[in-house]
Amino acid sequence: MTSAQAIDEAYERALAGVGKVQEIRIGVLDERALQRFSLVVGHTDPAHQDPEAAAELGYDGLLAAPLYLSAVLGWDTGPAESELLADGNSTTPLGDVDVAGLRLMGGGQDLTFHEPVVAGLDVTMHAEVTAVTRKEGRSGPLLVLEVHRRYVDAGDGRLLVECHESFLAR
Amino acid sequence: MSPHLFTGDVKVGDTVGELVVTPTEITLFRFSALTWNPHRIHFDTPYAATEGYPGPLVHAHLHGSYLARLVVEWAGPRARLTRFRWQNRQYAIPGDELRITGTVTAVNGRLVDCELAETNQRGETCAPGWATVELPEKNS
Repeated sequence: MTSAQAIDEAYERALAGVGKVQEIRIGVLDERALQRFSLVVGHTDPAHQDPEAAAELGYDGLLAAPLYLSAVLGWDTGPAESELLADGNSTTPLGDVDVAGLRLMGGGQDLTFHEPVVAGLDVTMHAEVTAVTRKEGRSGPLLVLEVHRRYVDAGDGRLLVECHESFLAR
Repeated sequence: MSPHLFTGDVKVGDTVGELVVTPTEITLFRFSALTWNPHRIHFDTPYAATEGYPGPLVHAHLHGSYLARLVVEWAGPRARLTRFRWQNRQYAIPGDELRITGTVTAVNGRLVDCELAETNQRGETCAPGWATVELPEKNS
């Protein structure tokens, strides 16, 4: 199969998943995970490392780095190693949207922050592929996938963060 | 501790500080682990070479994280990031010196818009970004 044919096949499969909203349970945000993410990214403000410093600023828990929720690629256990592609990627990096083994590259995100994201929140993600477009790039055909994610409080449904993300698939 | 900015402290054209980071292979490994990202392009140099890259690639979301970090550190812990977007334009590898800068482009009451950019040591823009922060009132 040529790369153009592979792209066409992936396009048709991905199109079938457009508009389906997947509900993914993230669970209770772990303080240690938030601290580690902030450490690696370099957030040194105490609100990202010390729950008491966050409380002094009025937060209900340790403050997450802005991109914490939208940077984590998988919230469930994920596939066994034997089920990963040769490049390490999952065959279904976008939940049950079938990208037929294409490589995805993050093109960027557009985030709106509605409520502070803090440790102890119980979070659910609603994810939807909103559009798939076939384009001719400099190195051949590619797909552009637009993904919309809404992160909400699992208890009362409050919207915490919205994320529009584009992926290039080759 | 970051400085505290308040409404009225900034005007259009102000500089949004500067941040210089040089991610290492360890940075990338830890970011992959924390985000449960098994893609070999981010930690496996021989694999990255098969795709034509001189080293493992800095994650798209790590570029974004550096841009967001600049603006929240500049605005201070009492400010609130309300909107942030960025685009990935040019790859980076461990050892690249990434300079993150920004400028205030609009002030609307408590809301401040900033334009951000991450450039490498060759002056190439790796990732442009845009942010809106809400600053606290001075007497709040």
